[in-house]
Amino acid sequence: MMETDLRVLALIGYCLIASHSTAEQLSPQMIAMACRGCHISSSTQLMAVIEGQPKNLLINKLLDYKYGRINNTMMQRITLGYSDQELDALADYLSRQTLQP
Amino acid sequence: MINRRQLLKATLSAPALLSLKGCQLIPSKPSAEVLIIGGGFAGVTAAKYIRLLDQRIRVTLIEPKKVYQACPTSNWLFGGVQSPGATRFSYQPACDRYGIQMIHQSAESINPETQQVMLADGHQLRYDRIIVAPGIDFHWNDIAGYNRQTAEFIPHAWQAGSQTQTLLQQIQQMPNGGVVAICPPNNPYRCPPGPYERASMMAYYLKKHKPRSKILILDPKSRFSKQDLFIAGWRQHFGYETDNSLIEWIPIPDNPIISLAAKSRTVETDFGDRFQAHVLNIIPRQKAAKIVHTCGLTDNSGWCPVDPKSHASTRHQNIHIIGDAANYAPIPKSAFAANSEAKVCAQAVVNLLNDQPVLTPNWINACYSLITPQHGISIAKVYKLNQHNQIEGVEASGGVTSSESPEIFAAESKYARHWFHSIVQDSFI
Repeated sequence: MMETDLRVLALIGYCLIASHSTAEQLSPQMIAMACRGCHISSSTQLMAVIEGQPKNLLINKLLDYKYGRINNTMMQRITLGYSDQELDALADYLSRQTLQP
Repeated sequence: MINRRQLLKATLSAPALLSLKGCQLIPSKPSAEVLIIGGGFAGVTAAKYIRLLDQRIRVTLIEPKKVYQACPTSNWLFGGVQSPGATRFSYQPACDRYGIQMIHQSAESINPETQQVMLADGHQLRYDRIIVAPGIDFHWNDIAGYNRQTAEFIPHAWQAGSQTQTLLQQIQQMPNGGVVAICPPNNPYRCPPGPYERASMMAYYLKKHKPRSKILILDPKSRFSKQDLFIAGWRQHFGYETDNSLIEWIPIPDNPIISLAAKSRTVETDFGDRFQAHVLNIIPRQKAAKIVHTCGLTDNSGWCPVDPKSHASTRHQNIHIIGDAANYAPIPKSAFAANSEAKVCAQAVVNLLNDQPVLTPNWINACYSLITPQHGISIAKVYKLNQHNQIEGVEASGGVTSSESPEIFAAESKYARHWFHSIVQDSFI
């Protein structure tokens, strides 16, 4: 219990550092382009299609990954690289994209 | 009245910017000429994304090969997990789909003063901006007796293609009880976990077919990428650190390999230690490909220095350099990183050609390796610019697969296959 609390605290600490490491918030398009290295194909559902999905679904998923509320092999490692604000703007941007073939 | 700048701004801020569909025509009256040298993950991705971002720019890709042979997953051939055809791609679909002009020739030189490229047939092409993504070349003077000719039968197999096939045949023809010696290079080099994934895939094959064999990794480094995960995997599958281990990792940072007796497939170290092998895989130390050296785009490191925000050369104007040839440290030299750099560069080139400010860049590296077909591992990191205009990994992000459970490794092996499919799709299709 104690150990879990400490780990959560450490995680929050990390996130605060991550949020403040750059003064400027990244443009969502810049982040979205980087995501496409994995999230481009619709031929398998293993790495989810993210373009054109509802914003609420996207931001909830992104924050669940970031704060460890969903177990996943890769996504926490990626989402911890961004502030909550950046993820929110990203979700908004992605929701307005049309689905790639 | 809307002026040009306002119109451009409106175009650039349109929300569905990356949603181009259908076949695009090469513009006959382009707003600007962009040349791209090199048809690897970096070059083709840059060509595609410039066309996605601004269809008025004419993009010409210069690459002598008609079919691309990808390095990622080429190690899987040794484990029988991949077929050669699955790593070969034509440039035609991307060219047709995005309206990219393709020239199948070598670029001989770049003249930064006249902003022209000289092709192998003597033709000159003018550019407004050029993106150079030529990949790697090797240092051939480190190991006496190892050169381009000996590499044909003692292959490095580090540029995918015929040498990978040669190495595969040698492994298949090797007797049970034979010795394979892999000699990785010093940092920095293309695909840091590559030599260790190669050893894993070879060990997987040997365990099934020639279990008395041994793989020696004669390493000039005392640490390597995903080391703890590789070693744990080797312990689990290949008896690592037992008498019957299929893999032996021998770090020799102070005792480098200095010569090769090609006939007997024997390498000798500085202190005179000799290692003889049935199959020898020497991966030489690396530098940027030849064209950037002849055009003065490299520094003493042998790689190209760049401004990380615009990806422009710090040596010459209107030249951008991406992929393995450029120095984006601490971002490793991987196909995924090359693809990520290409997209940042495409955005920068489009904005610069439209008199728009360059956006703050962001890169991701994600890289999977297989230890067995069902045991995958990965490393990842998000990179941003710090306040000193230097690339920095976001501390909280990234790291390696954080589990020891077989289910997670099995999931990672599935992700590895999907990862390859996706990165190829984002780059070439």
